[in-house]
Amino acid sequence: MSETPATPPEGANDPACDLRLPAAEIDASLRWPVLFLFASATAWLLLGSVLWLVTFVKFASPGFLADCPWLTLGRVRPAAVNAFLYGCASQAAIGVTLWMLCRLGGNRFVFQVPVIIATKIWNLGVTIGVIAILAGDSTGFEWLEMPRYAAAFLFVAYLVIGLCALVTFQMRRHCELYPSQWFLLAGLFWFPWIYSAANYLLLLDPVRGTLQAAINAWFTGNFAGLWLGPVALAGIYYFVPRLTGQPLYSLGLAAFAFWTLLFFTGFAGLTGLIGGPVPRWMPALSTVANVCLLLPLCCNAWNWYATNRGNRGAWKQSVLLRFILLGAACYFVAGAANAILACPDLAPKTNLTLLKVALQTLTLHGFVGAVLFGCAYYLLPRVAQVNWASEKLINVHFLCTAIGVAAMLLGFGFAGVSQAAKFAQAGVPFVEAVKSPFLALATVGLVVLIVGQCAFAVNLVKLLRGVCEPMCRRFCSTVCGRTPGAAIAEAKP
Amino acid sequence: MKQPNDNKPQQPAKAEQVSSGAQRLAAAASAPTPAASSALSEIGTEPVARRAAVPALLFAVLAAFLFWGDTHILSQGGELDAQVHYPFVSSNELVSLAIREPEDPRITQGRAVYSLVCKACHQEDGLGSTAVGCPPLAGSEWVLAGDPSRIIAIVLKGLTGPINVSGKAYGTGVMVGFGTAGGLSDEEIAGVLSFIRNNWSNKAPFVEGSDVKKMREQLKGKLDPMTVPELMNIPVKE
Amino acid sequence: MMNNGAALFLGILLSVAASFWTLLFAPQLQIGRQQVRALEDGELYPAPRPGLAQRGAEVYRSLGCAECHTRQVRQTGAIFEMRITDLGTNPPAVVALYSDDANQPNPHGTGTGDEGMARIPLRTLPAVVGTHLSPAAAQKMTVQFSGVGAKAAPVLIPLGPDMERGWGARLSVAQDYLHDYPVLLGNLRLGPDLANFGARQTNIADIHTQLYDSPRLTMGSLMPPYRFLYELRPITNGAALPPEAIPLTAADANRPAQVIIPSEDAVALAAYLTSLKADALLFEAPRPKPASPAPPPTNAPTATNVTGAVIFQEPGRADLLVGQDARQRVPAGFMAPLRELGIEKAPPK
Repeated sequence: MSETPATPPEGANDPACDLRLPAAEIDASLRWPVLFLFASATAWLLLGSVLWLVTFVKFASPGFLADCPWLTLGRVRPAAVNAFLYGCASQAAIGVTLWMLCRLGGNRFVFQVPVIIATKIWNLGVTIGVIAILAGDSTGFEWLEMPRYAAAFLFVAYLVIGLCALVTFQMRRHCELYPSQWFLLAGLFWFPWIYSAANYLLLLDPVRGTLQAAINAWFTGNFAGLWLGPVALAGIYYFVPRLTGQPLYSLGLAAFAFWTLLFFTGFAGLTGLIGGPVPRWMPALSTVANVCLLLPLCCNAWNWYATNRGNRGAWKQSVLLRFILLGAACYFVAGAANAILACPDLAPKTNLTLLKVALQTLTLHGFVGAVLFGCAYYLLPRVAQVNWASEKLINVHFLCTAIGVAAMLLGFGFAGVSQAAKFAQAGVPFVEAVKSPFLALATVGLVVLIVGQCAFAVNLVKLLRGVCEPMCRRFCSTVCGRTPGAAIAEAKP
Repeated sequence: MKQPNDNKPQQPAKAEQVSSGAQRLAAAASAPTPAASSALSEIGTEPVARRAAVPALLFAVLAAFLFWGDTHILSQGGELDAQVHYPFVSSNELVSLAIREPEDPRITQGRAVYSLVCKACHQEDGLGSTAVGCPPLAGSEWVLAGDPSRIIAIVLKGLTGPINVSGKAYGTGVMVGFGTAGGLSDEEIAGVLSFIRNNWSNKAPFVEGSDVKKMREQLKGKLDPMTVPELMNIPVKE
Repeated sequence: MMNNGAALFLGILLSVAASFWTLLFAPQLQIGRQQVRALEDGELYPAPRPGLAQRGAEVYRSLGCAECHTRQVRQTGAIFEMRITDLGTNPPAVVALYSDDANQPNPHGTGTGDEGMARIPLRTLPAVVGTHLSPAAAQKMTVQFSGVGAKAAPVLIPLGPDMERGWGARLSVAQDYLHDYPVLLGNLRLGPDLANFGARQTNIADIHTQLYDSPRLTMGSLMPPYRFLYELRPITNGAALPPEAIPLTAADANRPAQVIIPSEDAVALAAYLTSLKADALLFEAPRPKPASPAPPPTNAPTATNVTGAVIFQEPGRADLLVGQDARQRVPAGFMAPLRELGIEKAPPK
């Protein structure tokens, strides 16, 4: 059905600026690129989760699959992480970016073929990269373990996708920019710049000494904070007003949060090096940045809260809104925890413990994951024009995400705290200091999370089948002039 | 304007010729379920925002954060120095932690004299320089001899002519003497010789000022630099 | 302004540039151009790795050891201890100085000035006569003691659990990593720190056994077994043994002895691990100065530090030993010497 703006909603400006095309038309133009992106993302998600589960089992029993060099712990973990970050999260982020830019700009997407080809190249690159890591050719740098030849594929693919997204943005019909578009643009620009800078300075023309560790830390902080983070923030900014039916509380607040976030996150990645072998002014800058990030954190949280205030009960009815709000809550907790753990008294004791893993899980799966899934649950049926097969599975997914992330946060969190306390006492033997009974809780959390991800995968497969079956049938009828059943019936003597 | 139903498949023209299974499939796919059409409708409209103004208070808060950040860098930033690592706070602290064991004052003075006077030829590492014709002091059997009389004589009067040091021959350079008026005092010569005899890999007894004074008396009146035969004439205690 | 795509682009570019120039370019000028440096004894630091150890570094990276092991020793502070090595010609004056409260900022032991006599164990030298001293206090005490003819030296004690666990003699600094590519500092400590592994573990057979099956040497270890780096071979009693074989179990009536033959990768990795040392004395990484090689005649128990020089040790100060975390090892004698296994080593070719 078409969208005709009857009366401009409160807060909308000049109606002459509002030239958006109907939503269904925009969605139809995005169908194949977005479906392909999310299908590949889901496949990588499941693969990454399986590999991650293997690492958890290896923690509990180190001899598990230990005789195969391809599955040794030091290779499986980076493979799982890279599969998730580049295979799943990045592709889902690109899918959300393209859809949201088109929807907010109000124009159709005209670059289906380049983006589909680029997605294939991206998938090829991630495949080569993950296999290379398992084969032993990892670079050793955190979140950059994929070797140069795999990174080249990703870079080429992203150039195409980025250019298409940028041109799509330029072709927008609705001239005013909504905060989500700012965040999406920021992510679109930051990713290639940090990826190329990190690859160049670490892999192509390596710098000398611990500067490599500093650049690596800068990259990981920016990957999470200025590529995946802004896309998720864009999702929250888009869906909280939309799903509650309220206008966003304050554009100015969002603008302030946007610029402060952009400026401070760039400096915030080096807290892991507090106490480490770098000149101490560099991690000190990161401490300041992490604390200053509380400012955009609070601005964002206030904006969303005040927007939601107009319709407090909305989250009970809408599972999509629950995903988005779960993401917002995880964002808030992660930001606050990062600021506390950046304190130079605490940081050297905690930043080599599992607390770091706890916060990473909270950010990547609780914040980015939940929001991207929430966005996916809204946009996928609309671009595919096929509804989700099972509403119950969506609820299962939400519960599993919430419980799984909470369990992993608590499990790793308590394990990390106990590790920090025991590492500080030299009298405790190291093998005793590392272990913690809470790791079992984290494993349970991961299993629950994977169950939720499987629920999503089942739903997605049914949705894709719902899209593809009519296509297949129409193809067969055009090519053969008959449906497959008829051909088989006629072939029988 | 496209309608959602445009995306539903059309019934094939020869529907009556298909088998029952395919017919069921086709029927199922083409019939829109009531739930689908309502759930695929848009929820709300594209979001809009109110209140374009940024609250001025936020800038004040930002300024406060930046002020705190500045003090944090001043106190924890290690003076932006490349060598100051956590937990040290400044390079002054590193200097204060670089306490060495207390040094015999003769060695300290001797080091200063060496840097001023001897380093130019005999080099910082005590290995001398074949280009200048300057023999090494580190590991030299002349320096390490138990009785320092001969090297005191060299320093007082200078040296000329060929000399064998550590198996190599040196002879192209001339060393000036420092025993003249305006040169080094007895204590200074004792200090620099003690330093030379206890630096690098050398280890030998200290030289006393009284030894230098005795040697100075003994060699009074000699104006030319020493030569090796003259040095060998100086009796040494074993 | 916020509706203008070009203005947004400019702002985003400026934010990237700010963090790039501050955190990437400025440090490049500071630490990215560091050079190899000469130490006090003339040695260049860091020394380049020999070829086999360099290959081992590649194996280390390829196996992903940095996922669980860090290579950065951390420190929480540094204090001085005052040690008297010679009472000189006037012991009563030394004792009087030591027992005068006004002169000592933080005396060793407890109590006030009355038990001053008891506080220097005059029978055993060297003795610690002051601890937790700041640099200024240490200097002052040195001058005071040398004023009464005693020989007293301040010794720097780095503080921190890493030091106490024997993981290093001083913190890791940027200079330590000049020759490394990639610099694998590690992000998570699920295994002990390896920055100084070569200083505390030089027994190649133990290293190979730990890589093959870590719980044999460290009870309860979480480290996965790297059996694929080795070949397990049973050796019948009396058979000749290849020189590189490492015995694993002794023979008994029912089965032959087992040895493991390390592969090239394992040999390279062991060479790399034994090359890991980061304890040179640097300006930015002060550490206890290694004492002169000749030990003084004294009946105090002494201990060797990593450089083989003798440091003075008080009884009970085992934390000053820079060595293995003794509690982690199973009792010595687990690995029987070859002759007890009844195995003759193959004659050298």
